[in-house]
Amino acid sequence: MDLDDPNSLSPKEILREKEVMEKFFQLMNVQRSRYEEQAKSLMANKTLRLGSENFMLEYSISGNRYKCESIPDSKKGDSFSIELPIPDSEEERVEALVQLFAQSEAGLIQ
Amino acid sequence: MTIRKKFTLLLSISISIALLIPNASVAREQSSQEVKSPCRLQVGNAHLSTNLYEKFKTRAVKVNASSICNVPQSKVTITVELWKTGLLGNHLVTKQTTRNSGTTFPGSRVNNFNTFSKCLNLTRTNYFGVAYSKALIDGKWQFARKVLSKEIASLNCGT
Repeated sequence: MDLDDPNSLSPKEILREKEVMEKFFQLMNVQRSRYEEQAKSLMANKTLRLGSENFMLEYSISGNRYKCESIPDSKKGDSFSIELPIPDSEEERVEALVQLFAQSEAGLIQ
Repeated sequence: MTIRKKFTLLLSISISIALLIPNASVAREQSSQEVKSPCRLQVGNAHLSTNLYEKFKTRAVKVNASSICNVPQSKVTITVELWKTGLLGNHLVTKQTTRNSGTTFPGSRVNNFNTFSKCLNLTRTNYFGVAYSKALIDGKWQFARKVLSKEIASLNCGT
């Protein structure tokens, strides 16, 4: 196994990787205004919970990090968490959160 | 043989035995350390996502990690951190943890391929990945120590 060799990935793994990256980029563009509103809400309230079909996404600000935790409906479900350091400027903070929202929603692809 | 000579002989035998015992225990420890771990955690080098660039002409820096075991493993948690180097130390770019709820067959791979960050500009930056994991193997939690990318990748991707 060599992760630096794309040929070592199975067709299923390559497809999933492609889907996640494409979904991420599409969400960043299509949902940007919603994400910017969510960013304002998170920065004001320090927490934000969003429901999706089979998951709850819980965002928080803790220390110098933005965090996202996916909470599956079923205890048997897979889950993930993402952390980003909080940037210095306001503009960079909104951009980091837009990326966090898109990345977490793209990560829900099974 | 005088009492003094007898005492010296006994003392030297005792010292020899005392020296042999720790050697045997060290040998046992070395032997147990040489037993190969049933699992392997690997983190690749940071790279630019070709998928994103080919389709959207946009850049993202990405790092992949996988855990593979020759025994069944369950509840595999893999954490991947993407770091960039800096003048005053390294900086965390993003950290992603995936928790797999199922059990995998021996030889099958559990991946964390979701750790990435969009490039904000074309500034040349050095990146590397760090990964660590835990899994339930034979009813016990096994923890994999931190592994680093083999190389620091210099990419035209400012984050």
